[in-house]
Amino acid sequence: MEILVTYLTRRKKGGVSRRTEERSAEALHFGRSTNAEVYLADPRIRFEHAVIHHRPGGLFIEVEKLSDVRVNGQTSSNRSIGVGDVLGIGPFDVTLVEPPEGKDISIEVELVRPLGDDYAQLAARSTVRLEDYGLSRRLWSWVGFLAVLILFLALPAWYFFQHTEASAEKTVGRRFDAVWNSGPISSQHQFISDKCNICHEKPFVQVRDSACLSCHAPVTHHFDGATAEISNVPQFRKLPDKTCNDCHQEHNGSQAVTISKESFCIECHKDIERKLPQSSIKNAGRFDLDHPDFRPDVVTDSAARTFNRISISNSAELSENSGLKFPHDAHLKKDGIRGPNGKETLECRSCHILPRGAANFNPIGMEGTCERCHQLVFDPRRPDRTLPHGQANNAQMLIREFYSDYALRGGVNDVQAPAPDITRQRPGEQTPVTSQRQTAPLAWADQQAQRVADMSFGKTMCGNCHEVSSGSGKGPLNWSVVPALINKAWLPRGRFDHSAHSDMLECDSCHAAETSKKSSDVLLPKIAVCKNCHGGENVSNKVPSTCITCHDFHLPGTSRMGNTKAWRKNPDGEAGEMHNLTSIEGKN
Amino acid sequence: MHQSILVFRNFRYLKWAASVIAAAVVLYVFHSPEYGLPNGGTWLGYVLGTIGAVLILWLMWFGIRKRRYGTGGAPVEDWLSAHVYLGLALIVIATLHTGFQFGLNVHTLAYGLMMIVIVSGILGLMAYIRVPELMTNNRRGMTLTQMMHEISDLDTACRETALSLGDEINQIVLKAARDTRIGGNVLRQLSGNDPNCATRQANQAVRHLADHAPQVQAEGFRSLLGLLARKEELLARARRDVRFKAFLDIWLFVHVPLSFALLAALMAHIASVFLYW
Repeated sequence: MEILVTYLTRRKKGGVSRRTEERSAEALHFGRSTNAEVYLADPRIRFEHAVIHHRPGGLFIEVEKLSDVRVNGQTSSNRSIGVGDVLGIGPFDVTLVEPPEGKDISIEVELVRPLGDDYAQLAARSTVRLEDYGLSRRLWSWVGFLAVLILFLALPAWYFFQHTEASAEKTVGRRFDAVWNSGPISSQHQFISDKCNICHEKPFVQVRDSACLSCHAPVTHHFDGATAEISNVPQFRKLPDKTCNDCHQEHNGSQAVTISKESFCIECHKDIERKLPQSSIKNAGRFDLDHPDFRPDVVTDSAARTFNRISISNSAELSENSGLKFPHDAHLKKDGIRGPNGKETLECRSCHILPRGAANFNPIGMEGTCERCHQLVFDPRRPDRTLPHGQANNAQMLIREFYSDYALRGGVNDVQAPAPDITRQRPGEQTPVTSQRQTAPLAWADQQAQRVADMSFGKTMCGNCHEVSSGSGKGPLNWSVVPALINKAWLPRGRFDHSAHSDMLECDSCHAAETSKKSSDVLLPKIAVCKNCHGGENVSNKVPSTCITCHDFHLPGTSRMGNTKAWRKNPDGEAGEMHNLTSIEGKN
Repeated sequence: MHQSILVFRNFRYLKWAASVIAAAVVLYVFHSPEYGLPNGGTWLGYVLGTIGAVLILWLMWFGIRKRRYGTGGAPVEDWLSAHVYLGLALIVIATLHTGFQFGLNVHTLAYGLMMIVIVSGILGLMAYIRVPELMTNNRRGMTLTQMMHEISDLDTACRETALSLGDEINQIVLKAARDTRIGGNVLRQLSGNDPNCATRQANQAVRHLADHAPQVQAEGFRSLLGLLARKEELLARARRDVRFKAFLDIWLFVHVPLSFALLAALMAHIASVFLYW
């Protein structure tokens, strides 16, 4: 078989270059084999790709297994072919053309599907910059900026301004502006935690006192700034300018709303004696270092109900003049004392009753406390008759009436008593009691009454516990009792919770009652006893205690917090109107 | 060059930043709010907050400043050195501004975004200190484009060499050329590796076939294997180069977008604390 092979190459500038080869072979082989009549140098061509045979019936193509051959575009296996057919052999097109004279077959071979630019393909497949993989700083910057702006500024602001006018009573569910909340509301204010407008009344205006006072109206101030003695002290003029939230801060969760810094108090109280010389308030600093000792408010005259504050270290003057005679030691004897039902041993709580959870003891007095043992029976023959307590004149009258009655009615089992005057009477007739008939019994009765009164008032009963005197009273028997006054609070400006302490301490840890012989003893411990457990606000080995642990800032009797604006009208220190003044005296 | 950013002008901006930090810490330690807890609403809180907000705006301005070459003022090196040190100072300023009060709200969101931005900046700084040297060593004087050109040339050479070898080899070589890629998605770029690298697979397959090849093809196989080994080595270097480049870039995709998110959060923070004053 004579073969003419023409290789066509298209030039870039146009035109086709042709290179012809003549072959003579049994069959026409296509492939990468160097033995092939048509050598096709391309990795996509198999070593032996296809063969064209010249048979009596014409040309016949035989396709090697797995080879890629198309005849006129149709994928093909073995078949007959003829002039005009285009064979796609891999990336080559092989066209059968009319063979010239002397040739059996003539083909034109052209590489129509080259592999292309390796670099361009590699570059196209590769992604070597992050920007090329969908990352864009600009895009994501916009996304981040707008997302945060919408979610955390625009939506909450829209919500905020939508609801500013709305009634604060309107309960709302999930608020968009909750993301602005700087911290959880304290438990006291939890019930208004979703009604921001109650406190934040106006946008861009700090929470005003009026918002606080709309609920806490009765809160009073620390003093009355309108008084001359206060308004003349320059440092004090700052105090009315403090707002509620200077000391009370919200949005701190479980942290106390009230600020307890002792420095706030100490700022003024460290030299209050100089600032307010007319006051009897003492300088005070940190509790553990500079707190003065206690100055109990003791009774100076129980009859006149006068008190005076005397330092507990001033033992010469410290005396409680309650008008009572009460030896604690005698009542607390370890081996017991005589009680109404025999011998018994008393404890503190036998008389001092602390209701569960109460800060202070029930008031102590004859009724309910002393009278269990100290019954006011004045005549042992009639234990059912007792004297009324607290009514000295009434009691003396009762004694005299008791014995007069006895004398006149008779039946007195007393050898010295006069015999009753028995006069016969007609039925239906009443004999008048003549003065003569009264004389002897009443004389006896008066004698009895005076004797019993002297004994009861002077020794066995009233005088046992009270200061008494005879010859000065208004009652018929001339006894009088000095009115008693039991102190309810030695420290009127300090708070002390007995219940909170009774879990850990016995009474005698603080109160030396067992050795107290006189009721004039002030059984208040010194402040050093408190300091055994309590330290300043920053201690770590004791209970941290600040001023407001025991003292109140908002004092009773001063004007209300909301009224303080009036004070500020006098910036020059002149006293304002003298309204509702509480003088600064020795009660603090 | 990277060293000079940190030691720039004999640590001038480090000294600035250290002064700001020291002043803030001293003030914080000695300032206890008059009565309350430390927080952003005390006078020191407002001072630190204002400094912090101005710093954030100034730090972000660097993105604009660095694009304006030769516009006068301090050189960009000054800006970058100051950007680094004052950005680090912001950690202390802003943390003290919070008074260590954190919560689930826009305020802590702004703080968190700021911290992420700063941390990404620190990672970027570390990359800029360490990576360029690694990159230079890895490149050995070539650019990535040059490497890719050489890889393409090797593909061509492989194909030519394989023409004299079996069909299977040609398929393998062709596939190795067609399927090999450098880089890819973000993780692929950062890993600097391609676990399914077509060239590596081809290399293994050809080596396997070479063991059973007839003697006459030995020369062809030897040169093909040589070419493939060279290509694999070049690919590894190219992928490392992509990896280093990604290291130099990736932090910016956090740093820049989140700093804009921070800007929005800062606006919301400031607006909200004064709306609900």
